[in-house]
Amino acid sequence: MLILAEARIGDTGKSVNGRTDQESVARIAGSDLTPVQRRACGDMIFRALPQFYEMLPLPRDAVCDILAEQIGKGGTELEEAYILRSEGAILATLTAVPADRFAAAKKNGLFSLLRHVPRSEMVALTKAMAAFESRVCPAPQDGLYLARLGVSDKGAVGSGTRLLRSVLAERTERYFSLHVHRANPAAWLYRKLGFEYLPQDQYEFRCMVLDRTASG
Amino acid sequence: MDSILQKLIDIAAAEFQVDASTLSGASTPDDVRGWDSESQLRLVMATEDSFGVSFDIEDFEKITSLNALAAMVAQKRAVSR
Repeated sequence: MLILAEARIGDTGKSVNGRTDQESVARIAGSDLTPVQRRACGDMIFRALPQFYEMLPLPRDAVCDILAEQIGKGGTELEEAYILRSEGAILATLTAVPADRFAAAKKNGLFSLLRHVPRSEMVALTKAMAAFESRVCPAPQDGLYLARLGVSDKGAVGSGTRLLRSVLAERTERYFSLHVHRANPAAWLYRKLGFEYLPQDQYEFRCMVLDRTASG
Repeated sequence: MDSILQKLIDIAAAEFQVDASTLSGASTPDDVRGWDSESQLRLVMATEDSFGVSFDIEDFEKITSLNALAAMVAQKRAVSR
């Protein structure tokens, strides 16, 4: 596999099966990926937020394809995309958007999904989307919003963490925020990386914030 | 150490949703159905709660078997005493 346009940001330091090939992290645009890789990323993004994507009255494959098209596209939650890969296989995908543009990006991404929804389903879906929104804690507008972090089926334990750590090391923002479902054990990893819950705990999708100055 | 392992096997059986008799110290993510990254996170959280120890992310990556986890628990408890 040869990717020309990517910006490689480094290795995770983990060697694969004792061989010299190492996992590497790269920032990518959708056009940098082969169709199979794009689809794999779309699938990981779906798996990062199934509670939302499963509401859509579309086949899962179709949703994954639409998500794959959004990767690296400005103005969506997938506009900044990073992958962790090993020997051409993508193990984890992380997408981000500047937090002050998160609300607009979410709307744009939603519209691009809704374009594919049959008109007859639209009213019910719009209601379901509004209900979903009320389950999500409002996020702060500072720094970088980490929109989706997904791992592949075959993703080795910890691959998502290694990708997130590499991206945090590469970025210069002070604040990072993300949402995590209250039943998602990944919150443990985020806490260990220094993320703290916002105090609002009535939401099903809680918001966690990393303040790098505070955490040193 | 044996009592730590036995307790870990019970915790792991609950988190991986398998029968405890199918698990041993030699059990690894590759040979236990239900041992994936998500259930490993649950295992680590339950282990922290049960034994009153705290793991960091580097520890998480080193859990290659239940024996390895038991050794980490024993070591952390020894340090905290």
